[in-house]
Amino acid sequence: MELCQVAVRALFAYVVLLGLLRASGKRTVAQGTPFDFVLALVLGDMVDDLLWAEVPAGRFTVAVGTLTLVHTLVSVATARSERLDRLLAGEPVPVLERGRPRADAVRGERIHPSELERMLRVEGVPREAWAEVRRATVEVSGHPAVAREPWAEPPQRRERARVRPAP
Amino acid sequence: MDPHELLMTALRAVAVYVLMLAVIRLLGKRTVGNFTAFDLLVALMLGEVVDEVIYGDVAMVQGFVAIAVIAAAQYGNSWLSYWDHGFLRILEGTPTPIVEKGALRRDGLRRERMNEKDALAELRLQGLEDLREVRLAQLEVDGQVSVIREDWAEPLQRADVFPEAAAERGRAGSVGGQGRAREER
Repeated sequence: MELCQVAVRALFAYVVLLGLLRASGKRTVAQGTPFDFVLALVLGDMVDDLLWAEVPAGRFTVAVGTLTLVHTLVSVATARSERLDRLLAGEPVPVLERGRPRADAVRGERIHPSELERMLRVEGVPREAWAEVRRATVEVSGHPAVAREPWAEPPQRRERARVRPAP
Repeated sequence: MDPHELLMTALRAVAVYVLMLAVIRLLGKRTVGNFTAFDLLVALMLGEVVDEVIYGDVAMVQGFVAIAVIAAAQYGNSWLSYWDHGFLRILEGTPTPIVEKGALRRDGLRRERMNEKDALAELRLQGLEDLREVRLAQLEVDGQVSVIREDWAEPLQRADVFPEAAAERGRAGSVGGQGRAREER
């Protein structure tokens, strides 16, 4: 009988959280900003108390509902105000420019040079090819973005006429 | 259901959300992006603390102290790792080669308890089906796989086909130290 209740509560939690995540939009699911990350961390922790009947369903629903509401308000506010967005989400940090590490940014985010190397390696850029990088940034989601020098980009179709086979 | 209790739950949820957002912002992008196992661990630990605080099972102050201590430990750790590379290596480990010069590195795979299928799956995810195109693939300390292709398997660059782009590559190479050595064919 108790197992049955656990199953029912699990299903209830699943439906409530799924509904809330859908209501809060796609960006939350992608964890693109620090506040999306926070919501995912906190929501994930709220479920177990309900499953083991340590809190009643009503309090669970109020708690997760409030969190999602606050989160949605924050998202809306940061979408409207650039200043608020800078404050709450932060800004992308350039860590490499013209093939060289940006010492200030790397220090500000406490990225060790070996971590910077790893970050670019994962993007397919080995140490000896750093000169190909015009700018590498760490986005507010914590993920790296690499833009190459124009000469290191692949030629585009519109340039087809100028491509000559190498002698 | 006691409406007062529901209201308190809601208020505590708001307070926890605000505090967690402040803590995550202070810890920086490395925590959000799970740069290392520690960043992931800290995120999980912080997440594990908050439910009791929101439901009022522990006092707000106690919860905040716990969160602050975990965050401070992570902050200190990230500075130590930043200053002392040896410290970082001991804590995080080093990358493990799983494919080198077109061949599987059995020793690396064994050490990471990966089989051949896992390695090939990782390469497929990066668009590689042919092992021979891989110069070096490593399992990095954050669990991602980095793949460096053989020079001949890299996509063409403008500098390979346009003389003016080649000249720019030459300049960049001389300024930035070493450009990627390209075989002339």
